[in-house]
Amino acid sequence: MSGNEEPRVLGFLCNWCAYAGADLAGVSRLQLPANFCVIRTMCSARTEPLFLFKALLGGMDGVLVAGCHPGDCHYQRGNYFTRRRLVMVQEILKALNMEHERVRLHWISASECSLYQKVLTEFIEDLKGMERNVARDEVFL
Amino acid sequence: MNARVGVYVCECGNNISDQVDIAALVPMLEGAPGVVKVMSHRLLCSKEGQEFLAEEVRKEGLTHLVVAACSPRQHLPTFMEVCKRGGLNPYLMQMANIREQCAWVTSDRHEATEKAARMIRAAIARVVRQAPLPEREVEANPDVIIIGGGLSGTVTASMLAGPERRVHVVDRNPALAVALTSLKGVETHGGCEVEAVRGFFGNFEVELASKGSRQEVRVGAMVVCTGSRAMTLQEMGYPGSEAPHVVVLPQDPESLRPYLDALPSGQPKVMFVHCAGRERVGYCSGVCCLRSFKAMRWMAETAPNAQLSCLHQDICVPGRDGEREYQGILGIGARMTWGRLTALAQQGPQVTVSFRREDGSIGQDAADLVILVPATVPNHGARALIDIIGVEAGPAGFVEEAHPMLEPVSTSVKGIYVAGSASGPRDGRATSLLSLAAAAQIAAELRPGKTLRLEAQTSQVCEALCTGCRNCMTVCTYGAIEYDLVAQTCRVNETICRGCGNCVAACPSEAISVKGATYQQILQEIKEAVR
Repeated sequence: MSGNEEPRVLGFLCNWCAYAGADLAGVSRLQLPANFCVIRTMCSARTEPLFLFKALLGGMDGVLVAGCHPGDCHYQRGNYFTRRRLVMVQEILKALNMEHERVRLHWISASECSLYQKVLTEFIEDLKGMERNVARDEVFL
Repeated sequence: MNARVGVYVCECGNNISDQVDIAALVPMLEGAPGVVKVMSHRLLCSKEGQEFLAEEVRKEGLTHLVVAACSPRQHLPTFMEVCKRGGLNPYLMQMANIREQCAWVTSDRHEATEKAARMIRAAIARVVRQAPLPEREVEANPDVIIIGGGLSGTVTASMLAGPERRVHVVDRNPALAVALTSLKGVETHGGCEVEAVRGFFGNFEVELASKGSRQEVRVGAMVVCTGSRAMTLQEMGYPGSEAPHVVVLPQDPESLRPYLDALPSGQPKVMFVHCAGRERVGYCSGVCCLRSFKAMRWMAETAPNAQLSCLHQDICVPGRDGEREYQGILGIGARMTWGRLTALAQQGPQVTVSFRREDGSIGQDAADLVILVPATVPNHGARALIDIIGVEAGPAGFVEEAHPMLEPVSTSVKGIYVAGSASGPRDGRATSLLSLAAAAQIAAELRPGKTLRLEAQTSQVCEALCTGCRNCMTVCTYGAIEYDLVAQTCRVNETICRGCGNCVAACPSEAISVKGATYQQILQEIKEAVR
């Protein structure tokens, strides 16, 4: 990424697994990048595709969606729908000539706080290697 | 009405204030739209802190409240109660998690303070768009219907029946055990099957059918106690299993007596073959080794001259008595052979048993009587019942628990429970334990004379926007959405809806929203978070 600006990431975490895992990261005092903000949803399936575009067009360099592992969804199978929607979002990003890697989906359980830390740190490292999100200057939400 | 938002920042002892500069944070939040007061407090969840907060809500005439403190997973219910005490609808409060997800994970104090401000501004932007939601309750019928009158059904029924709760027990078998029919408060329906189920937790209507008659039972909860059965010879499909001296181990070893009487004199050979059908079902039933050993011990006493042998793969004898039982079998001189059964063949008076050894080579043995120890499979009719009542089933056809550890007797449908071996092969002890657990859970969740609290944050459909495409019905796991044929729009049954929001993301016309997590509420939160 050009300049020495840190990439900014928005996370949509489901209440039952990923958000609990993020809480555990706090309880375990794992250190995370500061320019990462979380929106709590009851299920990852609540994350409408439009939210991801709004975040990217609003200037976020990356968006992380995280939910329960397949088979563990608190709402039986919401995460399967999330998975399909994320594929669709990535296809649309490709069509818009945007880096589809800016949107990521991970399964993070309530106990996987170190996985959460790893996913986030790697994501931000990868974003540093990408071009600056043009929407940061040119598009307004 | 103009919003009057109060923002209260908790220092959480030093947990938050060590890492977040509270003195710098407070002025950063003043002047945010709608905010009339920003204040910090040492410990908001303490008794004194709660009283302070409730009093502030009243005194300042707050219309919305933001509590910047710990995780909502820890104290959301606490602060919702505080709102009620302060006369504010609890859904007009939003928490910003500046402890777990800010103070504890950010090493730089300046960055942590900036992040906390951003999180709180996002919470403010969201809370002013929240709407008050009513606490919803529904009258509930305390009665319970139990499907299956075996061990689990009997245990569950005996625990639940009482003067305030009627228990119905349905079984396709017309003759039910005296242990059940003699129970006070239990109504048995022998020779009946469940035809249809309507309604939801607290108010189910169950249609029962027997030969030529129908009846409807109204209950608040259902328990699936359909149990399991032994796999049959045909289902196992071993070549030559129709040989006359091949038999499946019965529940009661006494039933083997006619076979013993037919054994030749001298020292007849009796072979127990474990894991019969295991490859076909794809799991270890876990209860059969012990059953087989008990039958072998019975046989050693009943026919002392018989030579016992055992063809096995793994020996699975968990629990306190398993090892003792296994040593007992070795003590009576039973010959143990490792092998996977491949085929059987009647040759003269004896049966030839072919098996594959661990190294892949083929072995053979002959016996006068071969007893196959069968895999445990779901009972006849379980599949049809599962489809009728709409619970989830696993790949083997057993009812799937809502969660194997946390909710072992709940199913995917609220108000329908499962006990005993309907959810997997169990021994008698586990069957009893699960039945007691199901009874206890129902006793706790469906109390006579009490109403049921319903989820307040459910989905709702805006009829004017709905095109009737029914995408939402396809994605809803709970069947909470109905299609109105006259209006040609979808409608949410708010008693069934759990508020996951999957339907909202699936709706192409933005006609559905989840109360408390609407498009605008989350969008405004996003806008502040990305600013």
